[in-house]
Amino acid sequence: MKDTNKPITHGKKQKPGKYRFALILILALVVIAVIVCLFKSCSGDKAPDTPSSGIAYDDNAVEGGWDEADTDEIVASLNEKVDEGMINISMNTSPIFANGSSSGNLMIVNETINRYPQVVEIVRRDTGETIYKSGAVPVGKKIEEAKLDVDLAKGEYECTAMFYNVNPDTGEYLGCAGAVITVTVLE
Amino acid sequence: MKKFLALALVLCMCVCMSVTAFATEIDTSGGSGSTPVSLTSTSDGTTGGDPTGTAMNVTVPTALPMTMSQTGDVTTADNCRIINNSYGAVRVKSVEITAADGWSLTAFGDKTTLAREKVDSNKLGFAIRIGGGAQSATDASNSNTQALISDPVAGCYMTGAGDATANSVSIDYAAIVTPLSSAVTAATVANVVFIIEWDTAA
Repeated sequence: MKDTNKPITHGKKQKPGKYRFALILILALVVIAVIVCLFKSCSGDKAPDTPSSGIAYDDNAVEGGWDEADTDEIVASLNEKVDEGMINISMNTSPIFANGSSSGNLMIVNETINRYPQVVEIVRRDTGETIYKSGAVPVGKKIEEAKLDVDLAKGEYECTAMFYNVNPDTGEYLGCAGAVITVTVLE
Repeated sequence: MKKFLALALVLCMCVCMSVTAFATEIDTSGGSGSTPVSLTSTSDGTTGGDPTGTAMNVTVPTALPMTMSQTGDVTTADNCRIINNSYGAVRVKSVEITAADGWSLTAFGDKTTLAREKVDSNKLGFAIRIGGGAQSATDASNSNTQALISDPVAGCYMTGAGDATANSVSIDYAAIVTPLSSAVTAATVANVVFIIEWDTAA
């Protein structure tokens, strides 16, 4: 009896052990799955690339907004342009002409401190008529005397002498300044 | 040596005597005479030279550059000056601004005043202050040309070059510009012309 009972007794005792093993196995798989999920969600770089996230970030995107340059640097660069555009105007402000067709002492000087050739136009302030226009005067050169382009009658004429900086390559006017002068025609 | 000293003394006597000889004759006690002091101004400083007045020599800016940020803030240069290199005093007679092709002048003010303007409407508001004087600014009266200064005002006056403390004046300028849809580089939006004249006593 003992021998016949033993297997029966043994078989009844093995069932709980099998269930326990299966339960432990399932729990272990669940724990592993949870750990894997947590690891993936915490890693950060993987998630955005997955098509399921719905957005693909551009690798060229960097931190920041519109670049704002240093104001002092901007002002310094602007100051250089001002220096380049400075013009020195120099002439006799009371030129005298013996008559309307003779030469007068204009004494227009393009000083050596200038950067550009100059063209000088003399315009009557009362009528706006241009009575003289020079050709380009190179830096360091002068026009001592010249005839007017208009045969003026005897008298004194208040005029504006306009000095233009000229691009030496293109002849383009780069900027100008003026001086009030009095043109006198004696006869 | 004695001969040389004697000759020098003779020369001194001649000079002294000659002054007496050129003076107006005064033959009564307490009488007076006048001696004309004549002046000739010529191009080379000689009595026979070409008659001219004092030469004007002034350095003036012809470029007033500025930049505009993405948010419409305009930055300008801070070294603009007019420098008088002449012997005589000068002043700024007038300052005129003319809009460049494709641009127009508008009233200067805070940049927010342009908030209702269309992008690329190419409008410029401009203001200038010479020698720390009053600010002169564009208004809405004329979109093409405006006189910022039409007669000399406080701040426009410069001494002759002999007084280095007052022979130049600073030029401060500011601007507002309507928004741009595309970039521009060194584009001329306006031209400002300074006219200089002698600071005469009359």
